[in-house]
Amino acid sequence: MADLTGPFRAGSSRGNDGRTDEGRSRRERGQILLVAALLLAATFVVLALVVNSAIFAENLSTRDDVAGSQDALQYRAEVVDTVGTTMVTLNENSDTTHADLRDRLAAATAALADQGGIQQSTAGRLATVAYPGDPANTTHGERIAQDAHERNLTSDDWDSDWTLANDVDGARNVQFNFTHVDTDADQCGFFDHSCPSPFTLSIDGPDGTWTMTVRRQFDLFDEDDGYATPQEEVDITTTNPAGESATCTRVVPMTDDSNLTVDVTGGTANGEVCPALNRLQATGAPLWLGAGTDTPYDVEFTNGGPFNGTYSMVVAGTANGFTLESGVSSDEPYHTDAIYAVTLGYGYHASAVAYDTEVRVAPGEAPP
Amino acid sequence: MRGRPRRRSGTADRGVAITLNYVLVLGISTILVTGLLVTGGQFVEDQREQVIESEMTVVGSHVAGNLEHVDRLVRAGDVEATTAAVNQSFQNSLTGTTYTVRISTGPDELVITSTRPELTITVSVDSDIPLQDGAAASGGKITAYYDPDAASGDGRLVIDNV
Repeated sequence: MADLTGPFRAGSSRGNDGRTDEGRSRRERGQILLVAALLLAATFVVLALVVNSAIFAENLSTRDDVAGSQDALQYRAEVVDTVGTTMVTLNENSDTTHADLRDRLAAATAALADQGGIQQSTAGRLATVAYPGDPANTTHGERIAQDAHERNLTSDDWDSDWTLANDVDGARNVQFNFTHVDTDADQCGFFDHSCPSPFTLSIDGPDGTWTMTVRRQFDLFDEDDGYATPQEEVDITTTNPAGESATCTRVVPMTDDSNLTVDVTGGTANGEVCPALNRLQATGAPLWLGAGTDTPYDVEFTNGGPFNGTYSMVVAGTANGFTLESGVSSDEPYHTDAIYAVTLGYGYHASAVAYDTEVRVAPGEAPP
Repeated sequence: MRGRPRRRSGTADRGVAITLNYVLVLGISTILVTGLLVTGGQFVEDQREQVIESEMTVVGSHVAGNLEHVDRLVRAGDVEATTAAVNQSFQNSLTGTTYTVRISTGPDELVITSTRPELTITVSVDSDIPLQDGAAASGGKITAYYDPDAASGDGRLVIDNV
């Protein structure tokens, strides 16, 4: 190895310590390399730290969301579902006053809050649900229904065109179960394309009228006899105030045991998605119940005579007392007190998440 | 008569050659070693800057995600939340440098700045609720929360240290 210490070794002389210059210089060789090696070692240590940081960054980038941040919304949705189901059950099975309904719902919600709170606490979370049962937290309404499936969709005075409710601020859980869809071919003239008249549910608001019609398809000129013939297909058509329209079709045989269920606010017909009830309008909002109208609106039936079945809905307001029986009736359309919506206090606290809010529960409501 | 041959002055020549030799060896070695150290040091510094940038991107993405999550929490349902906060712990320093996360609006983004070396990266934030411009937090436990009274009753999303 080259001597990198740099002393001039022209000859060897003996120093005071008795050692020669040559012997000393051999021992003092290589300082530059030694220093360089130490610096390089330090550089490698720094590089190792940098690599370590890079690995940590990669690890951090693959981590999921903060624990509990999803659960806050998930538990909230469970609360809304559970309280909503309780509300539907109370409305459908109780013929009682608003105050009594509130008390019952408050008791059921308190039980849910206790059970859910205990369950969440085992996972280290604090979850609170509060419904005091005050009128201030409650939107009162009325439930309008007909339970007699063999009866047609007329008023209690057998009017085929009638108003179920005036100036209500909303309608939810609007459901029909048609047990008979008009099959009378005699009413149709030769190639009368407006035939037969459909059953129409109208939502008549300040900005116009939204309608849903139910109509059996007719072959207007049967080759065998030359007259109109009812088909098995039934059209469900919705139209908004701007004239935009959508239709879905279901097969409903003309036998006694066949029926057609339409969940208007749920957007399904015979249990399957009906595009007519949730197709997008030009505005981007779906064509669901009351789309394009504004509140308050009237709820009306037209041509209910040739159609049989049951129906149920909850309106935010007062039902029409002139066309409906008051209190549950087994054979007439009726109205009872109901809770349209409630506002719950909801809180969810975990180690990394804090969430307090109010939650509105109105099951089966088409957003405004 | 032949005279005694003159003695060459070989000792003095050799001494000069050895000195030159040593100077050259020392010089070249020093240059090589210095070059190696400078190159190695620069390489490590470059790597460090890259790692700091990627770490700042990761931290910024997490904070942006937490802000967007708070946005969802607040807007879920018909009624705006009164409290919504998501906390997350990060390193106090990134590869030896402290850093700051700051909200900038227009466009909505997080600006993450390290102190030494001075590096800056941005991460965009997609939120329906407006962000509080200028809100900042340094490394450590960072909370993203909703302040309903931030702008005279108009709620804002804010970040801060817990």
